[in-house]
Amino acid sequence: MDIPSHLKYTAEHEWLEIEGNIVTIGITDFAQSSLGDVVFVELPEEGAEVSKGDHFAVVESVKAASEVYTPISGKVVEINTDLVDAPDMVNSNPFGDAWFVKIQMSDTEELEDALDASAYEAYVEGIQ
Amino acid sequence: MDNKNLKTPLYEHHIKSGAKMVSFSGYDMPIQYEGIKAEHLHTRASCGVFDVSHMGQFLIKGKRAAEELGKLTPYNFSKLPVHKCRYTVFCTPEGGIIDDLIVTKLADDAFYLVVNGATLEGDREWLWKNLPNDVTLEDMTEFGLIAVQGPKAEEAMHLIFDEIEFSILKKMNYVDAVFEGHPCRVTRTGYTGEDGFEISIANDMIPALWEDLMAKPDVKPIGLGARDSLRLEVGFPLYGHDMDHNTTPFEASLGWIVDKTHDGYIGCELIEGQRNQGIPRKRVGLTILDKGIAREGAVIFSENGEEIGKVTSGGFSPTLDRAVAMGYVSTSSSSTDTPVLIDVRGRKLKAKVSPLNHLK
Repeated sequence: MDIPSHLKYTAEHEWLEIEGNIVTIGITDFAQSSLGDVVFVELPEEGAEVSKGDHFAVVESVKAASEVYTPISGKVVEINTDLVDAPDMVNSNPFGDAWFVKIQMSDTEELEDALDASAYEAYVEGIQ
Repeated sequence: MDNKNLKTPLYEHHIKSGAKMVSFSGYDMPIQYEGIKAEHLHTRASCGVFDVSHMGQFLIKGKRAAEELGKLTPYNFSKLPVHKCRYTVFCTPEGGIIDDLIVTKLADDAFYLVVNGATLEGDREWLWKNLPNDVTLEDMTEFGLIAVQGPKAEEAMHLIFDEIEFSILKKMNYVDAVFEGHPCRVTRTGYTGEDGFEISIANDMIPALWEDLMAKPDVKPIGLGARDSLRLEVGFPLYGHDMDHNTTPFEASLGWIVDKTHDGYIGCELIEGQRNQGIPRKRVGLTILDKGIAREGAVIFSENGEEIGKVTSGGFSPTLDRAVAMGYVSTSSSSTDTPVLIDVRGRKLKAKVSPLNHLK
């Protein structure tokens, strides 16, 4: 199970890369492995406003459709259009090419709940 | 975790193979081993082996067994040749489908039935209630079932059952066989659209047969996930999803199993009435033209926005690398290539009616 140490994580198995007030969001290796073969990703529109807890994307695997929830509020400033054309990147490179969106945060304090890599690793071990 | 599920004789084998297990038909069953897509493609190209021991197996015996089975199904089993298999259904008096099953004629007075795991209890009660005392019903709970499917299935089977004449054992035919001194029932049947076999053998011999199959070249274990996507691609209905008590054989596009020269069975009046008067809705294939996947429950609309039906099974087709589905639409919208819209989370995906078998 790959868990890069420079990222933050959520209990919903998303990873967050924070640069200033922009956060890049994707789903973790654990999440992609649980979902199985990802065949379609539905992303929000660029410019969309999202609130913490909203679902902003849908990942369709061969098995099922799963919603992805945002851990922060803000504005979607960029979406990964490559992912729509090559959804299998979620399986092959979840932490790299397969980022979902970049969100400009409206309240950075919402990130206080985010887990660091070791806390997330312990969390994943606990549920396995 | 409180888990009252039953386990098939292969439970430990599945766990050891790294399978992800799910609850299905009251059993802990493997949904996947290496991944649904890979397992699906392997079965289409080579040979996949499935643990289907959750399915129900019965023996029906007696001089009047054929006649009595003919009262419960839209087919006259007296005319089925010995060692032939026949796909059929049990129906309610209203013509609704109670279950779909494969019946094999073992002898003029003996039939072997394989029914769905999820409907096993109901089927048992139905048979119990409807069969007369001089026809016996035997529940084969001490037997498991393994399916061997794919273009290389015969090769793998030949290495294990060298006494079987595979050139004579045609599709939908039966043969008695022996595995390590134990009798087993082999039918050339399956639920994948590929050539394949189903082997019924005593539960305590299931692990040895599984291990023997796994040791053969090009053989891999396949989970229920790929079993579902394989049958979806070729348009086979899944009971409880693509048909149930509220759908008739003609509505389910299973008119071919209704023998019009046969009558007097439960449901006959309504079913034959539909043959003459037509049906309000029909099960069809659906090809999704937009990006996205239409799954069970998605509502189908006509081009001018009128609700015309529902998706009953849908998913991703690994063979075609796109979404496929099946569902019921109004008969007036059921001809191939009729453009439709399918609502997926508020988005209306463009789709069209297509043949049930997406690989044809």
